[in-house]
Amino acid sequence: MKKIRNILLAMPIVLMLVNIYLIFLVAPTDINLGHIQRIFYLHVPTALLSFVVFFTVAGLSVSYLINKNKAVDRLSQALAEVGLVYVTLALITGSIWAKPVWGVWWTWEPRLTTTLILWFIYVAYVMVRSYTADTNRGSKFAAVLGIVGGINVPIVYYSVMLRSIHPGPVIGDETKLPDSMLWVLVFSLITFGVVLLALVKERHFTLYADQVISDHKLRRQQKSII
Amino acid sequence: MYMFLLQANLPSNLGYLSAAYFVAWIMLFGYLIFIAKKRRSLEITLENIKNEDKEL
Repeated sequence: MKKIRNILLAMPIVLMLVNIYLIFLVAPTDINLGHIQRIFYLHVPTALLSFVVFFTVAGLSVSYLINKNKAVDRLSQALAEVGLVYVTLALITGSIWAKPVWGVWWTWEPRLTTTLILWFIYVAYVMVRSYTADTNRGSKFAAVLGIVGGINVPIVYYSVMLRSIHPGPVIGDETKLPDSMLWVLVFSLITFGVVLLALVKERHFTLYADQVISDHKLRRQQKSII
Repeated sequence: MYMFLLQANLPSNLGYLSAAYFVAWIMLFGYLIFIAKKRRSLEITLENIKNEDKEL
């Protein structure tokens, strides 16, 4: 069991090293932006995967509010936390990319503003769980926030259609991305996806163990009272 | 490698590029360390519970 766990943990590290090789030594340099465009292979996968994660969290939150299944709630929490790390990365890398290209670290344009709102929703999600004394109530509040976050995802995605200076989607029918860049991006997406799954798996285990320990302590207290 | 050297005359902004990757790595490793520490302490607690149950 431990051997399988080690392999699962080693896989993202190996993929990440190959990914770095592809990004810096294989992907061509953008003719207009230069080397700074390589942030793209970090910024786009983290942003896209965080959107997928928040959609999943919304679905799991609906399921939790209907069935009150604790396993679903734990998975939702693990996903939301890792999603928050990813969307934070997307915001930071986007800001670093914006400075040399747009001349500013931040601008209140639709894509950036809606992403920041999404970030605040998930910060609230994590805080509600941490600061609510009653865990069941905390889970309920978090589920509601998870649904609100999920509703915000399409708004973030389509916000580029409003008066936005942010580039539009790069994957799809209208893509103008050359193949040499596209396949590095796809590999990067797979890599960050595997890293995400590994982090979610580990976080889910800690949440499960936490639950087992607190249930055990509760049973012991009840026994001692009787 | 070839591409990288051929187009070296473009605006590099290598400081920004390395800052972005540095922040990403720090954040991902930071979160991984947070989970690993939590896991370790939980494993110890679970082990203690098992031992206490055996003694009882």
